[in-house]
Amino acid sequence: RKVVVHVRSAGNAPILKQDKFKISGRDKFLRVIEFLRRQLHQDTLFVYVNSSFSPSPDELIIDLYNNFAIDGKLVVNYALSAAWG
Amino acid sequence: MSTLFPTGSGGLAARWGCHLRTEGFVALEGVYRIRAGSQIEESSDDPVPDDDVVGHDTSVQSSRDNVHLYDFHIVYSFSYKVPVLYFQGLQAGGQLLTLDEIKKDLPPHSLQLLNESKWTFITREEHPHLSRPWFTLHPCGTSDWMKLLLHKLGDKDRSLQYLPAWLSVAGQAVGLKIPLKLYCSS
Repeated sequence: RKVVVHVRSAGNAPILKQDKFKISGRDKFLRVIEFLRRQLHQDTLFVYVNSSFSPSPDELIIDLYNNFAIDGKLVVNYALSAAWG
Repeated sequence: MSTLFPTGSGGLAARWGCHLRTEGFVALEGVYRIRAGSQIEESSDDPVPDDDVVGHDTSVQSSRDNVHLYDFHIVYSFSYKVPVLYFQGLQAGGQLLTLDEIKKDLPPHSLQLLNESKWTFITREEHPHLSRPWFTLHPCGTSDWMKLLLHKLGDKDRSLQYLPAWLSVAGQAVGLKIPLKLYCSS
């Protein structure tokens, strides 16, 4: 089953032309992280969900979608931020 | 301690023992990891009632040599004004794990991301309360990403959600799986 992910920039992160896409529920959150890193050409991205937490890359998309999707979309925010150091 | 950390993180508080001193810390101890796999078994969840740090004895189902025992402490940093994660791992025989050995216990994608991204800074520092060197995640970026995570919340939600939000990031560097239900609004 595919779910809709809507990525949103935060802070001064660039806005992507394609900000919505479908992804298999069986994929892991890592796919979203890697997609964003490729599109933005950035290795250091801070990626988080609206409900105020940053999912582990091993989380299943379908679990995130079932718990946190709003209006049929899982909203994922991204920022250019060095997390530590 | 309870004035520094939100008391509303009920699910979190139930699993972590609070060590109440003048300056205290929150501890999750006795987390078992099966080596070279991604299974985590946890020992007794009872909060520690007194001030002392107590080790938990738990029966181990697999070969003793394959199990690593982890302790995680959250300590408030008065200089950075944020929580800081301290952690250590032990082999079955009691020898301390090196950082490379700890990284091998991480879930596969977390380790991949940790190695690829440049934003994780793990150092060895003296534990503020236990006077022994532990591994720690450097706190200097913490307030930046906490601002992002808590951006849309009102003041009340901000204090309730602070520690779970923080733990979602800090826990990734050490492979702590936080139940998603902790982040669902009640």
